[in-house]
Amino acid sequence: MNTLPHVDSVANALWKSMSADLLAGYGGRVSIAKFLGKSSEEEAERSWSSRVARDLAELPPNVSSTLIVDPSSATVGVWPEVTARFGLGRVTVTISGQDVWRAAMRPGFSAAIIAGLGWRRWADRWADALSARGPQRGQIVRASDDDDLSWIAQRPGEPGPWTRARSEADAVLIGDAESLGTPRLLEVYEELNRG
Amino acid sequence: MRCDSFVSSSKSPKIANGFTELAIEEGETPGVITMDGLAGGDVMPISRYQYEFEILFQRGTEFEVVSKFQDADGVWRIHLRELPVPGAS
Repeated sequence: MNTLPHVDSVANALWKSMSADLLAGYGGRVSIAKFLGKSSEEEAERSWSSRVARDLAELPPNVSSTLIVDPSSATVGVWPEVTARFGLGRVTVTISGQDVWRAAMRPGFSAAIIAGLGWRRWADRWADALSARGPQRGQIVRASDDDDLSWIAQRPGEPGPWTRARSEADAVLIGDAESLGTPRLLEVYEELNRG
Repeated sequence: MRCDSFVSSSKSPKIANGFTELAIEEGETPGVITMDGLAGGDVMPISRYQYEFEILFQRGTEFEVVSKFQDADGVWRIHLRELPVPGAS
């Protein structure tokens, strides 16, 4: 997959866990290849795992080299109390056991994981740094459905589905992080990491 | 609007939303199309993937757009109505 060897093996392990869960949920009578618009299950696996590996490789180096997979739940431990749970097209970031954000797995979804990492390490300092540097983000709205992640950081001009958050403050934070984009987000992360 | 290829759809909102969530490649925009169909064929009994609850529409089926909007999540919601074939009973 041409990323980091550890990240590649993490992505492969996540595929095995995620695809087994998904097929079990449908009694095996759906095609993951068809869901992903691929011609075979092998091609689907390659495509999905490459996408995941590419974004995991964008995490800070000391983080991407120490990721730990929980094969029972398609979850990867990123930092103490920060995990990312993978579905076929979405990733859910959990902090201290609570789902905080759910992002579509478009290129750049690592921003949601880095946002969680920064929040866990520096809390308000992290949120303030993103707010000060982020270009203008979209509107924050609350959906009228029963999803626990009911706040949405809208991104007009970018295709949906946009990232959902647990609270308005979490939606503001992810809106700032996504408007910065992964490379600039990493710069802020490294700045705070250096103290 | 006229569709010149077969149109595949599902009776299951869960399946339709599943496909929508995966329109995430570069340049893809997710959307859910709700269709009021007249002559779609239920292929579930002969499908390898029975949980898709698939309904196929014949090539050349014509639809009219009833409504179209982008929801709060950024997903397009389009409502189509199949037009009857002139002369068909």
